[in-house]
Amino acid sequence: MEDQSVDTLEHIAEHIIVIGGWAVRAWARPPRGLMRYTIDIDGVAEESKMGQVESILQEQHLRREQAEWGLRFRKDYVPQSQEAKGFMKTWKDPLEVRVEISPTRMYEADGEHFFEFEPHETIRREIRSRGSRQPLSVKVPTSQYLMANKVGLGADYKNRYDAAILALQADLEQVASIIVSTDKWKDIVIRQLPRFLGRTRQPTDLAATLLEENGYRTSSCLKGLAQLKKLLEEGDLPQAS
Amino acid sequence: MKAREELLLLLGTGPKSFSELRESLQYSKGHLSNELSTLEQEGLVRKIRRGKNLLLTLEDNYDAHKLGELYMAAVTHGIDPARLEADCFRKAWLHLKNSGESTLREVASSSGCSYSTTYSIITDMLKRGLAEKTRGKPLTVRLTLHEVNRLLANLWIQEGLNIVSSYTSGYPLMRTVWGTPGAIEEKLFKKARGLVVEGVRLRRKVEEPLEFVIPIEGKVDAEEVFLREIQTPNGVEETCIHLITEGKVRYDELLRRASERGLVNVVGCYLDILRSIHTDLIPRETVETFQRQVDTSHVPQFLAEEAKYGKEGWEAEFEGKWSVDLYLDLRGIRHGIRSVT
Repeated sequence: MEDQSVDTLEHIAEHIIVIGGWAVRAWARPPRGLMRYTIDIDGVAEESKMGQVESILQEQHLRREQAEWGLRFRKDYVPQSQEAKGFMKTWKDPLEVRVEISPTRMYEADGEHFFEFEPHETIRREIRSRGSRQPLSVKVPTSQYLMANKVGLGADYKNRYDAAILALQADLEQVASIIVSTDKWKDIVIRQLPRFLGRTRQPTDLAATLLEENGYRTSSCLKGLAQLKKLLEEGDLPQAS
Repeated sequence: MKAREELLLLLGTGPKSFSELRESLQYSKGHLSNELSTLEQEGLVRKIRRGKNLLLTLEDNYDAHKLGELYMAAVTHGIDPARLEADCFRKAWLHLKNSGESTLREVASSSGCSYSTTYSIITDMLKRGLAEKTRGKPLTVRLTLHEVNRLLANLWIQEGLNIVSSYTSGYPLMRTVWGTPGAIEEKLFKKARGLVVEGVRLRRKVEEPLEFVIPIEGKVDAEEVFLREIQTPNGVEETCIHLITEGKVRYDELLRRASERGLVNVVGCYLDILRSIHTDLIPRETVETFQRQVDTSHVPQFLAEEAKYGKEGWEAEFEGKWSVDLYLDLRGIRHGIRSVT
């Protein structure tokens, strides 16, 4: 499954900055070695490159869908190996490779607030699928930018899981600087962080359960998030360059 | 008890050689041999070797295990397992399980068994504590919480497990499963790895798809899961949305149960919010139907556990319309909708 996702990504890799699951995958190394699974492709691209990305995806026979905020494509996952076919029999629900490419400036639903990924604040990293294909070199945001974006998003278990992992390795002062430098993102993050922390501390929380399953110590992850919250509340941070 | 039940009961206490079984039971060698052969073919019994000895034992599967457990529980409560295997007993029991409470005539009619047979079955159930009288005239009974009833439900009721939602993007690949305790017991029996039970720290190795199992008492259907999950953050941001987009929710049934539990305001408000984000998700008529039953005499908190995070400023419109005190993370709900639409 991941092979097909990476195959699709390879066609547009030079034109986008990969965010979302594959980007977190590029940064995370879970203690138990079980990599974060993902099949969706999330990315941002400069306005000048969006047309090219769209053409490439259409040439790859992905189905285009309406999206106000950018490009959205889908393709059915077709199991190739015997193992994959066997798995799909147990899974039973259809799976799709979904591609969502937004402009580098991502607006909130209110159309006013935004977060912006800086094209020069990226790094090349390899992503490895759990299939048999070769690793792919892609551009991903720094862990600081990834985390700065994550902590302003909805506090569902997936975003909290990602933010918790990134908190273990990102420079939190830089994360805080990025947040305060971006529009009114700080207001959103200040509002969201208590939810990120509070929900993950619940005994039956899914994000915490999955962190522990993958060998992370939830307490260490939460310490990082709490520290970020404190940095933002105290203020006096340098603007991100 | 017949030979079959005797054999399963004996083997439920541990592996036995054929000669041990012969010495314990009054049946002929040929009869025992035939019964064991049948049980092997049914996948309930198998042969194992311990040193030079060939032994018979219950198969390592859930059905054999539960059957052995049922027979032991039945016998220890003075109930002949052979009676449980009778066709009319099973039909009568299933009717009572599904109906909750029934008269003798209703049980007989539903089971297709004679009145006198049904009378015999029901009076025996009353005597053994499997059923209790709720009315004298006409005689009306219901099942009790007897251990044997619980074990029968595990064996005979298949709907205790409900894979209501599945997630395509997990950490690792994961699906959530709601089930009765009995159904979850079967799952624990069959699946050694890749299982997480809500609230329990199992140190099982991860295997995909990882199943995150949530116990529910009572009936497990989409509406029950919906009403449980709508009171949790993950529920409103993902599970309930999945249930809706997968077409599993019967809105009339949802309204009926929500009304019984004083949840109409909460559910209606939630459906209205979903519709405001994505019009195609919820039919307008559905929202209007819920609106007609709003109870303005009370203002429930939705979600109470998130009240500590305060409000975001968008809530007033829905609070006034639905008589609720809102504490939802709208961004989380939007993300949930976007992931499935």
